[in-house]
Amino acid sequence: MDADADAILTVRDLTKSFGETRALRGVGLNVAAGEVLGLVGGNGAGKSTLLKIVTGVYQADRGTMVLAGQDYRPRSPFEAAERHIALIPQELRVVPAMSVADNVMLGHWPRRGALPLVDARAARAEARARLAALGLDIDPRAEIGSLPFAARQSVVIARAVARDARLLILDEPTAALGEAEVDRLFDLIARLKARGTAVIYVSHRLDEIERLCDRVVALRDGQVVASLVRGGYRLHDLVVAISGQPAVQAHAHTPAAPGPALVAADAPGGRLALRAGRIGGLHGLLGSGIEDLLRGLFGAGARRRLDTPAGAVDLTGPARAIAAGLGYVPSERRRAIVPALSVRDNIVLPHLARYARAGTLDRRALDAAVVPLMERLDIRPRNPALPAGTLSGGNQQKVLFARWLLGTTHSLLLDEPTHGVDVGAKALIKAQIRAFAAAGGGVLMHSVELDDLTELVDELFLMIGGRLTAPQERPAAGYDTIALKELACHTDPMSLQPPPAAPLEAPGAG
Amino acid sequence: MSGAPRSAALRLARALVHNAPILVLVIIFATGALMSDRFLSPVNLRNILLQASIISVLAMGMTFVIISGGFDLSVGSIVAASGCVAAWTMLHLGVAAGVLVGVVAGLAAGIVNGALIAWLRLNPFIATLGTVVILRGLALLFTEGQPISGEAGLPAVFLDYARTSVLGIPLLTWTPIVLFLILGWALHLSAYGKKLYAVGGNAEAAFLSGIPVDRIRASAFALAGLTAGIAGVMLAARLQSGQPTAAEGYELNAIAAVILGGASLRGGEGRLAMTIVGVFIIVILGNALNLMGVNSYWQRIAVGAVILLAAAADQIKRSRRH
Repeated sequence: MDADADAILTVRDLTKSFGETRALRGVGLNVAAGEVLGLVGGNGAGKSTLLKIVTGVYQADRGTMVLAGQDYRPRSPFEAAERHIALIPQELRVVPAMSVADNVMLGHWPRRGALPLVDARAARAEARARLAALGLDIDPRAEIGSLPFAARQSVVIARAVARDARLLILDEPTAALGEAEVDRLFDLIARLKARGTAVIYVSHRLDEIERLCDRVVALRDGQVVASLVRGGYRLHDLVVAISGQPAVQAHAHTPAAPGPALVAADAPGGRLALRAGRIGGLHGLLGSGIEDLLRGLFGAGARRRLDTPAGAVDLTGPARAIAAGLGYVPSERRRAIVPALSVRDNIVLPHLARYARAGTLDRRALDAAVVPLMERLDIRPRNPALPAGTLSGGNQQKVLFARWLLGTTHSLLLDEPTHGVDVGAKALIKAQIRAFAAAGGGVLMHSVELDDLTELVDELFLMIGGRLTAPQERPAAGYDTIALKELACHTDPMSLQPPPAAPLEAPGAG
Repeated sequence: MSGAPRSAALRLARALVHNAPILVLVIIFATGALMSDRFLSPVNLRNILLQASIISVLAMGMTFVIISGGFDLSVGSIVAASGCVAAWTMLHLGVAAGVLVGVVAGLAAGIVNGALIAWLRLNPFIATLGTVVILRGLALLFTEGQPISGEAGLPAVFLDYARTSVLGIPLLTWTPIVLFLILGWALHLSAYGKKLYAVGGNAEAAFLSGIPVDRIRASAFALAGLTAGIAGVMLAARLQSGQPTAAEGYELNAIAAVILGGASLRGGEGRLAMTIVGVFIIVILGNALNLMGVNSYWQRIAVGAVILLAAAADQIKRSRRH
C-alpha cells in the first residue's frame, strides 16, 4: 500500500484478549515520519491496550507490526525504547531532585576519561543544545522538581528526542496544561514534525485533535471505526464515531422538582447548589478541575465559604463540611479507605463521636447500625470485623458509600462513584444514589463518562475551559448525549457557537 | 463434610500467624526452662519482671507512635533527663513533686517532638534524632555529668517503690500493669484509638473523615514522652539516683519490642498486648542466654537476629496478602 511505503510504524490486524474481554479486534493503522496522528476513543475503546502493545508492555495475540521497514514485536518497554519509540505518559517520569541537564541525559551522561566519571560540564552543554534545538528556554542547572508541569513535560520530550525517538507517543499531554502552555506544546510538536519525528497524539480533547493532527483514527470496542484526514471532517463526525449510536436513556424519568438548597457555594462560572431530592451531574474532560472543585466543597482544598440554611460555614477542613451534612466519595478508593481497619470502623470513621460513650465506642450500637447497612448495600462478605483491605474493589466502594448513609449526611459529593467496579456493584450504587435523592438528599456527582451521568441526573453542569455552564435540566426524552459530548470536548468556551447556555453569571464585561 | 476440617486447619494456621509472637515467646521460655535449672527460680522470674517493667512502659508509648505511622528515637534520652529532673526536684521539694515534675518533663519533651513532626512536618526519624542528642546533652549539662542522689540519698519512700512487692508482684511492675489497662482501653476500645489507627493506616482517608490528623499524630509523640517520663522516674527509683548517662539504647529495645509484637513500621497496625509479648521475648532471650553462660556480646547478636527474623516473617505474610 502507498501509505505504508513511507510509514515509520505500520500496525496490521492487532488482536488482544484479556480472558473473556476482547480489548482489540483487528486494529490496523500507520503513522509516517513528520506526521501527527490523533488517536481518540472512549474509555475501554482499546486505546491504552494498543499503546501498551506498541510500547512492549503487552504482546498481541495476533497481528503484525512493522517499524521502519523491519519486523517489530517488542517484548518489553526496554526493547521499544531501543527501537526509538518513546511514550510520554500523563505521570511524567523524572528524578525530581536532579537537574534538568541530568534528566535530559539520564542514563546517557557523557563520560570523562577512562574512569566511570560523568563530565557534568559536557552534560550541561549537550542538554542546553538539545533544549535549544527544540526552542525550549529552560535552565539546564535548575532542579527539575521545582519546575512547573509544562516545563517538566518539555524536558521529558527533549530526553526522548535526545535518544533519537522516531515515534513519540503523547498520552493526554494537555490534561494538566493551561491555554498558553498548550500553545507552546503545539509549537514543540511542530518542531518535532519538522525534524521528521512521527507523533501519535492521544486525547479526549477533540478540538485540539482537530487543530493539531494531520489524521485522526477513532477506536470503539477494539476496532478502528473512523480514519479521517484533516479538513475532511467536522467535530460532530468524530463525536459520533467515538460514541456510536446514542445510548437509549434506559431510565427515562422526569427530573425531580428542585427542592430547597441544602448547601450552596460559589464555583468558577457561577453558583452551585445541592437541592433536596435532586441529582446534579458534573462533566468535563480529564484535568477540567472538577475534582478540585468537589474536594473544595468538602473543605479539603483552599479555605472557602459554604452557605447552608443554618447560615454560612467557614470550611477550614472536612470536619466542618461533615458537620454541615456533607459527604464525599473521592474518585480513587485508596484515598478514602483504611485497608487495615475493619469494615465497621471504616464506615463509622467520620461519626466516631456519635458512637462513643465517655470516650468508649459502643460496639453494640455500632453493629446495630452497620449490619443493616451492609445488608442494604450487599457488602460481602457480611462480616463487619473483616479488614476493609480484604474486600473486592466494588465492595470497598460500597463501604465508602455506606460511610455517608450512617450519619445525618444530607448532601453527597461523588467523584466517579462507579469507576472501576463490577457491573453488579455499579447497578447497586446507582440505585442507592437514586434512593438517597428520593429520600430528600441532595447529590452532586462527577463522571468523565457522560452516559453514566445522563442516566442518573436531573440537571447537568458542563465544565468548559475552567468554567461551569448553567445547569441543563433533564429533557423529558433524556439528554442528547452526542450534542453534549460535542460541547464538552471543547476546551475554550469562546470557540463555542452558539453558546451552549448562558453562564450563570456574566463573566465580566469582556 | 471434608470442608469443615480443612477450614478448621486454615483457621488454626491463621490464628498461629496472627499470634506468632506468643508462639515465639513460649518457645524461648520453654528453652530457657529446659536449658537452665535456675531459670524458673523465684529470684530469676522476679528479675525478669523487673527488667521487663521499664521497657514495657516505654514500648507501650512507642506502640502508639508506630501505629500513628511515626517513629521515636528520643525516648531513651527522655528517660535519663526526666529521671534526673525527678531526682533533683525530689531532693528540694519532696517525693510527690519530684515524681510529678519528672513525668511532666517527659510529657513536655514528647509534646516538642510531636510539634516538630506534626506541625513543622519534620521527618520523625530526623526530628527525634535531633531531640535524642539535645536531651542527653541537657541532662549532662544540668547534672554536670554526675548522678543526682543527694548527700543522704533519695528519700526512702521513693526507693521503697523499687523494693517492695504487693500481692507478690514488685510495685515497679504494677506500674506497667495499670498503664496497660488504661492504654489498652485508649487504643482498642476508645474513639481515640480508631482515629490513631486511621491516621497511621491512611492519613488522607482520616483527613477526609474529618479527623484532625496533625493533632492525633502529635498526641502519639506526647504520649510516648509521657511514658518515657514515667519510665524515667521508675529507673531513678531502681538506680537510687538520677543518672544522666542511663537508659542509653532503651529506645531501640522499645522499638524492637513493638516490631516483634507484629506492628508495621508503615503504621496503622499493632496491638498493645503483643508489644508486651515482644518485650518479654527480648528480656527472656537475654536472661536465658545469660543463665546459660553465653557471652553478653553474643546475646546482642541473638536479639538482633530475632528482630530480623520477625521483620522477614512480617514481609512474607504481607507479600502473601497481595
